[in-house]
Amino acid sequence: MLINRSHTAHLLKRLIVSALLFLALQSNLPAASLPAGYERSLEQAAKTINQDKQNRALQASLNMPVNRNFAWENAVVANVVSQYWEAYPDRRSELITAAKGHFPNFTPSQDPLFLASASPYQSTGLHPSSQYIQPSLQKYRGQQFVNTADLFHPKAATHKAKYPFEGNDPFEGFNRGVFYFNAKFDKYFFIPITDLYQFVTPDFVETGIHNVFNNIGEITSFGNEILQLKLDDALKTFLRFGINTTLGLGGFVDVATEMGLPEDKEDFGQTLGYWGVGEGPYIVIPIFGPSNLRDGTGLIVDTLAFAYVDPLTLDSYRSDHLAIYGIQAVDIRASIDYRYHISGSPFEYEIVRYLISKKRTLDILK
Amino acid sequence: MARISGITGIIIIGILFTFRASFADYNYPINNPLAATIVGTPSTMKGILPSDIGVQERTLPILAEKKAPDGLWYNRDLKYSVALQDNKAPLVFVIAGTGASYSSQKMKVLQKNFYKAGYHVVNISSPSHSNFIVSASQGSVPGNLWIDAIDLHKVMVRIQQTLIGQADINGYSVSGYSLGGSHAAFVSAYDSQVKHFNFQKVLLINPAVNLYNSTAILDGMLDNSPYGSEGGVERLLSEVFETIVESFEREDFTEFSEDFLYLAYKEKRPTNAEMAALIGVSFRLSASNMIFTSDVMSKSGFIYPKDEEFGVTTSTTPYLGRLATVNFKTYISDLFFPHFKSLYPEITLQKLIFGSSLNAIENHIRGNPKFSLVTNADDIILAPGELSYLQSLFAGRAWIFPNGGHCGNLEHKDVLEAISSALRTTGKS
Repeated sequence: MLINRSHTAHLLKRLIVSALLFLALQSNLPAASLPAGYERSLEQAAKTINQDKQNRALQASLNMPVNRNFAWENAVVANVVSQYWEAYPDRRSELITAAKGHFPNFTPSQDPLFLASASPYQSTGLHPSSQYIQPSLQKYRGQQFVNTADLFHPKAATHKAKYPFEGNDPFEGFNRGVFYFNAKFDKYFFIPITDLYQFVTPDFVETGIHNVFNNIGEITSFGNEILQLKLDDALKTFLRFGINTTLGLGGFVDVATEMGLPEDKEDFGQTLGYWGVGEGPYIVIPIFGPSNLRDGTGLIVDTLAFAYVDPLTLDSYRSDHLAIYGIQAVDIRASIDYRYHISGSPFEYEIVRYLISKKRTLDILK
Repeated sequence: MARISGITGIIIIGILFTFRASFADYNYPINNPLAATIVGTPSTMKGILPSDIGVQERTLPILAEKKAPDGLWYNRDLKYSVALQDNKAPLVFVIAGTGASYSSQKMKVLQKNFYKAGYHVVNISSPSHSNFIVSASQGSVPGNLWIDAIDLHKVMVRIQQTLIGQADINGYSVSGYSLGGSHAAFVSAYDSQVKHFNFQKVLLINPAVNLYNSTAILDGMLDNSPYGSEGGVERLLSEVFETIVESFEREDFTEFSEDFLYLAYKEKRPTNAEMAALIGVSFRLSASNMIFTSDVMSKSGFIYPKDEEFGVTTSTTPYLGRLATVNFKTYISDLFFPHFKSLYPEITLQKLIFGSSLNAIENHIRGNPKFSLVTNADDIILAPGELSYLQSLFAGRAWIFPNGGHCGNLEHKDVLEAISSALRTTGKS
C-alpha cells in the first residue's frame, strides 16, 4: 500500500468536517416569505403612476406637449419588483403575481430589470439606437454583484444572470487582467515551450509521460471517489492504478483502458460539488487559467493532500521537485487544445467563463 | 482495420462506377433541412480526407488603416492558413462563411479536400469575422459584398506576394461556402475589372443569393421562436445543455461529435421550432461578434459608446447581453445603412440590399464557364424562388443535391467529390 492508513483517516475526517461546514453555510439562506414592504412599495408605485396620469391629463388639457413613453409605467413597477428579485430567487412567480394584482398590464419577463429599458428593438427605423441603449447599460457599468452569503449557494451563478453568458463574476476587472496576462504568457512562453516539448519528444514518450502523470493522478481520484461514496468507481480507479503501475510499467502504458477500465478523473472541487457546494465566484488563476472559488479551493486541497500523503515519497527527491512540476505543467498544457483568442471573438472571456462553468457542472454529474 | 479497408473499397468502386454528374447512390440520411444543418454528416458517410496536409498558420501585419484599440489587441494581425503542394500546382483561395474563421471545421474540411485534389490552398476568414474586420477591413462595416470583395482582394494579393519563392503556382481559383461563396463571386467580379488573378475557376458552395433575405430567414428562426423574447437565448442554451447532460448520462458517450449529435437527434426528435431556434442562436452569436467589433472599430456608437476607450479589462458582458436581442436587420438599418449613407449621401437602403445580392453581378456570372455551384435543394438560407434563380444562373454548371440543408452534407463523400469535380472541369450537363 502506498497510502499511509492513519494519514488517510485523519485527512478524511478533516475533509468531511470542512464539507459539512460548507453545507451548513448553504442552509443560511434568506427566509422564504414576501416582506410587508413589498406590498407597500407596490402601492407607492401605483400612487406615482396615478399622479403621473393626472399630470399628463392636466398637461394635455393645457395643450402642453406630453412626453411619456408607454413603457414608463411598466418600468416603475419593474423597478419595485427588481428590488426584491435578488433576495427572493425562489419566490419570483409570487412577486410577479403580486405585482399583477396591482397592475394587470404589467409584463413580467425573466428579468424585470430589463423592463426599465423596454425593448427599443421592436421597430427601430433608420436611426442609431445607441441613444436607447446607453442609459440602461450605464446602470450596470462598474456595478459589483457581491453578496457573500450567496457565494456558495448552488445557484449563485445562475440566479444572478442578467444577460446571456453572464457568470458569477464579482472580481471581473481582476479576472480580465489575469486573462490578458495568461493569454500573453501562453503566446510568448507556454505554447512555444509546449511546441518545443512536442517537437523534441517522440510521440510514444510524450504519451508515456502523460500516462505517468495521469497514473499518479489516480490517487487523487481514488480519494475523492471515496469521499463521494462512489465505491464502484473507487474500486475501478484502484484496479486501474494497480494494473497500470505493474503491467503498465509504472504507469507509462495505459493498459487498463485497453482492458475496459477507462479513466475517470475526480478532484476535490467535484467532491464539494457532489455534496451540493455551489461553484462560487469565477476566478482566473494566473498561468493555471479559469476556475472558481470552489474548484480553486479544491485544487489547493488536492495539492496539499497529495503532498501530505506523499505517495511518491517526493520528499526524498527534493531537488527534483521543480523539474517534475515543470514537466507536469507542460504536459497538462500540451493535452489541452484551447488556444487563447483563436476564435477572434470580442466575447471570448464570457464564452470561456460560461463553458468552464458548464463543463465543471457536467464533470460533477458524471 | 478490416472496416476501414472495406469503406475504402466501397469508395474506390463508387468512384470507378459513378459518373461525375450523377450521384445515384447519394445516401445522406437526414431529410429535415434544419436537422441536417445542425447534425452534419455521420462518420460512416464522410469522404476520406488526408489527416495531415502540413497546414501552416500564418499572419499578415495589419492592413487596415485604423489601429485597433487595446481590447482587440489579439486581432491586430490577420490570421490565415496555407497548405502548399511540393510541386507545381494551381492555388485556390477559400473564403469562410458568415462569422467563421479560416480554421473553422468546414474550412479545414474544404482545405483538405482541395489539397487532395491537387491544389495549393489558402484559407481566409470571412470579412464578417472579427479578426478580418479589425485587421483587414478598410471601412470596418462588413456586409457590403462589393466593398468586402475589395478588402478580400487586397488580402489575397498580399498573401500571393508572401508565397513568391515558397510555392510553384500555375493559376488561381477562388471558392467559399455560405456567405463566403457569395464573396467568392464578388471577388471574381472585382478581379475581372482589375485583372490581377484572372481566376480560372470560381466555385460557390451553399451560397446566399441575397444577403438580406438569408439573414432575415436566420433572424426569424430565433425571433419567431418561443426563445425570441428577452432572456430566451439564456433559456435555450440551458435547455440544450440539459439535453446534452441527459444524453451523455444515458448513452455513455465520452466525446461531443457528429455521431453523438446524430444519435441524440434520432432519439430526442426535437421539434422544428427548437432546431430553428438553435440555428438562430448560433447565427445571433456570430452576428453579435461581428456587430460589436464593427461598432467598436467604426466608432458608430451603435452599442459601444463611441468616445469611450476599449481596453483589455473593459467588461463586454452587458453588450453581449444586449446583442442577444439585436438582429441582423437592426444592424443593417442602424449601423450599416447610416455608415454608407454618410459616405455616399445618394445611396438608398434598397440599392445597398440589391448590391449585396448575386443579382448585382448577374452579368458577370451568367454564362461564364469558370463559375460553378454546389448546393442543396433544401438549403434553409434560400428564400422562395432563389433556388430556381441559382439553377438558371448556373445552368449546366450546378451540382444540386436533394437534401443536406445548409452545409449539413458538406463532409459527405459525394459532396466532396462534387466539389473537387467542379474545380477540375469546365462544366457539366
